[in-house]
Amino acid sequence: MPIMVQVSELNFSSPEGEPIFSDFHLQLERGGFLCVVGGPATGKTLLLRLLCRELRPQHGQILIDNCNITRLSPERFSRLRSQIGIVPQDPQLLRRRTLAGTLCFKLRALGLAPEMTGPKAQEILQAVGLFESRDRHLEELAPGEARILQLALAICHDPVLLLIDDPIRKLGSSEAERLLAVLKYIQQRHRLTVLATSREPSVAEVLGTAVVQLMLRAQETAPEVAPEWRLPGGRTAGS
Amino acid sequence: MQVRSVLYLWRQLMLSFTWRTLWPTLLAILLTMLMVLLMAFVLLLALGKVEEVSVHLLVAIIRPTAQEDLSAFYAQSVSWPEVKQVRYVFPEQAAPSDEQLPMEARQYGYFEVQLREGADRALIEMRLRAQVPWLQVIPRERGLLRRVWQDRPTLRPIVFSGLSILFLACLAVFYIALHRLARDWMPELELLKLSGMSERMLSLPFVLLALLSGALAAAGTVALGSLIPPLIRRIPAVNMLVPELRSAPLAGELGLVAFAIGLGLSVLIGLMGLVAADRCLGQLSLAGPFAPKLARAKAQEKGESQPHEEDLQRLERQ
Repeated sequence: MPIMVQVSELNFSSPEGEPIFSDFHLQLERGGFLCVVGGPATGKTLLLRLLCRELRPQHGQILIDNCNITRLSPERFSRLRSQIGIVPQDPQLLRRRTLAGTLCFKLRALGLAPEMTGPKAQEILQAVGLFESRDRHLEELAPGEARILQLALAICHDPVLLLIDDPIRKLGSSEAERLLAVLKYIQQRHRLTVLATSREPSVAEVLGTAVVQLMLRAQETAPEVAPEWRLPGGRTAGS
Repeated sequence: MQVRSVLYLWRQLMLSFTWRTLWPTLLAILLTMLMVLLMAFVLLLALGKVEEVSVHLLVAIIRPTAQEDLSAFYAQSVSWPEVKQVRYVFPEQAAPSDEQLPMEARQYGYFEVQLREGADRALIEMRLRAQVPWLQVIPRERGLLRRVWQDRPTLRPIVFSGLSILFLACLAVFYIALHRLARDWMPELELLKLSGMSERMLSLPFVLLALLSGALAAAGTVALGSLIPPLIRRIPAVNMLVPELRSAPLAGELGLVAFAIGLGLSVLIGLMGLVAADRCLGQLSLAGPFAPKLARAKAQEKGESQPHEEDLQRLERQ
């Protein structure tokens, strides 16, 4: 299987010089599903920010679809970036719009012809199970539904890679289950490559994915140990 | 495709105006109009025009006069050393838009007396008035405007201070309006940025909107430029302060200069749209500098108190 995301020898330190990633490696195949698990401030969101080039690493390379994003020109990265869907941790909700309206707005803004946006929005809402709520306003949605909508918004432009930051954060167990079921369905249906982060190791268990465990350096027993990558069985796959 | 996206976003932006964002925008446009008008007026006062170097006096003929009398007046006035040139303007040649010209002059014609020095104006005016009763002396406002600027240096700091305050107020209100709009649009901006739309593309609708506001202000100034001068003449305080302004219409020129300045200013306002949008884009999810979340977590782990908020802000700035 071709590699979709490859992170090698990644080093990143905070402005204070505190190392967050040192010699970090990660590999994700096309169509694969990987869950990055770690406590607060272990660098989960930071990893996503590095993957979408909102931040640049001090050292190392990040390959997405065989392109080193740290060296890509803005134009080429912009093309690559349009193939990545992102669901942030605390997204801002669009007020004054309905679910279908929000999806149509995004599709139109991305250049889709007006006559195609309606059917496309309908198709996506059906896929994520929010079709019945299409005319509801976003303020009326439950937190779980709002998160599913964010997922729908992230995939509506047909990305090949989906980055999700802590999808079940602040959700009840039933809402979290529903969201993870939708996520799994979407991943399989669209053959998406998904990289999700979470504080809960159970997310990886529910999704049945490979997992990368990130640890805070302060918690580590050996000082030279960097964040490591473990498979579900607890076996270390890389460091 | 990209042009279509930008135009679509711009249209959506225009439709998303609420009272909270509309009133500062309108206020900004109004302030810009006033400022541009004042700036144009000051520019005219400061620079004048090339032909305004010499001062003209219009000597209107207000009753039927014999040809001999007119010839005698011409011969006498042209012989004065202070006078550079005297020209008789036939009634049919009189400019129809010249508001200062009395109705009689349009019937009998008038003399245009060009002086060598502006300082001689009062002397020549007095001589002309003493000449014959069938004359009416009208100083031309172009020369006067130049003189106002030269003769009253105390006016300059007042005018420039007022202009600067208006300029800054106008830019500040524009910035507030654009920033408010951009903040209202943060969810939309975030959604599109997360889909990979570049910051340049996301800023463009704001730049377009700001340019349009600036152009609107410039166009409004033209209308205001034709209304203001007649109003100025009716304000007693202005007449007392600068009596020469009583004869200062210049509507056409003022409007034209104001329009040019307004268009130039709209470019500056467009750049402000860019700044306002950029500032909001830096506050979106996953954007901005690396947040010192690690320091907080470590403090929590060690059971220490939370780092001081100022320290966090300092780190965020770094």
